[in-house]
Amino acid sequence: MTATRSATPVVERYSRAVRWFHAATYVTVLVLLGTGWWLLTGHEGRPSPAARLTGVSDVALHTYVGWALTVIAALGVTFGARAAATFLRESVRYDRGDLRWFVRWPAALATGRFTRHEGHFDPGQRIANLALVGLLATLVGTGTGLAVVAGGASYVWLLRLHTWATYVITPVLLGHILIAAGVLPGYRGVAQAMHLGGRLRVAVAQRVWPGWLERHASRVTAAAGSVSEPTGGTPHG
Amino acid sequence: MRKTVKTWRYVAGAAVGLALALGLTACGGGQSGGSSGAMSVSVSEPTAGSTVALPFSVRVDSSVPLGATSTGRHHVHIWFDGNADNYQVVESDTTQITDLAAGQHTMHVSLRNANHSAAGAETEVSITVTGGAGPNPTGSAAPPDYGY
Repeated sequence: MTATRSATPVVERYSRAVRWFHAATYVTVLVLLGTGWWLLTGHEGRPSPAARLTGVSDVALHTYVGWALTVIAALGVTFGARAAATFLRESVRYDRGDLRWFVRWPAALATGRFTRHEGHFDPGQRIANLALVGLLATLVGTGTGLAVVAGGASYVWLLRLHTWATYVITPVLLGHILIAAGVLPGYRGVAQAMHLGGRLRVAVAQRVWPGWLERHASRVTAAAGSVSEPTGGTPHG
Repeated sequence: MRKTVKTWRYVAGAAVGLALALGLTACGGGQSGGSSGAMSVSVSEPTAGSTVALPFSVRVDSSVPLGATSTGRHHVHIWFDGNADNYQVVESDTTQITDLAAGQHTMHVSLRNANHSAAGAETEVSITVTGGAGPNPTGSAAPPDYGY
């Protein structure tokens, strides 16, 4: 990363590869969610807007995009094994004081005054991460099963699991989108962590992920001390 | 050592991608159904060449019991004039067609597995509709409401 393009100090929270993986995942998941709910609400046989746009029936579109998500997930876990391990480790993390973060959270949604935490993700994000990964894994697994098993008792169970996982993941995803989009005042500006070059304002990182920012800054400072030229990911002023 | 790990990752990634691509070809693209060997489907009403007025009933005879997809049973897709993406799902032996333009139509009936893949049994019947209402399924951008 080069020098800042504006006067606002920014920091790169996620690498380009992670941002592309996230984007590919949510594009496919949104198509799956849309076509899935279209089918679930009894619209099968009547082409959805997505089906009309692509010229592919909703069932086929759901199946093809489901395979695409499976491939994306498999490639992500294979080539990003270290990042995936860090993601899991940071998502199951628990520190003393995290419960206080939850107590203050509802008010902080509006004020932005979050209780300090030390994680890469905030405590609420950690629960959402685990829920999303578990539910997506269930959906990918059962979806693969539904594509392979044509009918019968196994199909019935796979369909039940797939449907219930859809019911549960929908509000979790909507909550994630609401928070990550930065609509709520407390989370304003966080969308930049994953989009538009990943240039997150340092002030936002300080507010939402203070422990991570400090560790990140000290790592960058240490690296800059041993290497004369600054490397990527540093807070830029 | 680092290079070995990197190479291993590429090999593993390629293997996973290939396996999934093969899975996609076998399961997603082909839409092959379960046991399609002795399955059959036919239309007993309306008969081929008949003239019907809206709404009209369609009675299908299937060699396997039909039911909702949630039961794991087979079902039938009915569509008109080659517009296969715009179909009516039939989960019992009879259904009603309530909206179809007047004129000659070819009604396609396809037996489907619970997961909507083709079970391998299909038939088609030519009919003439009188007093039809609504758009022609082949000629309109807006899909007809088949009454479900």
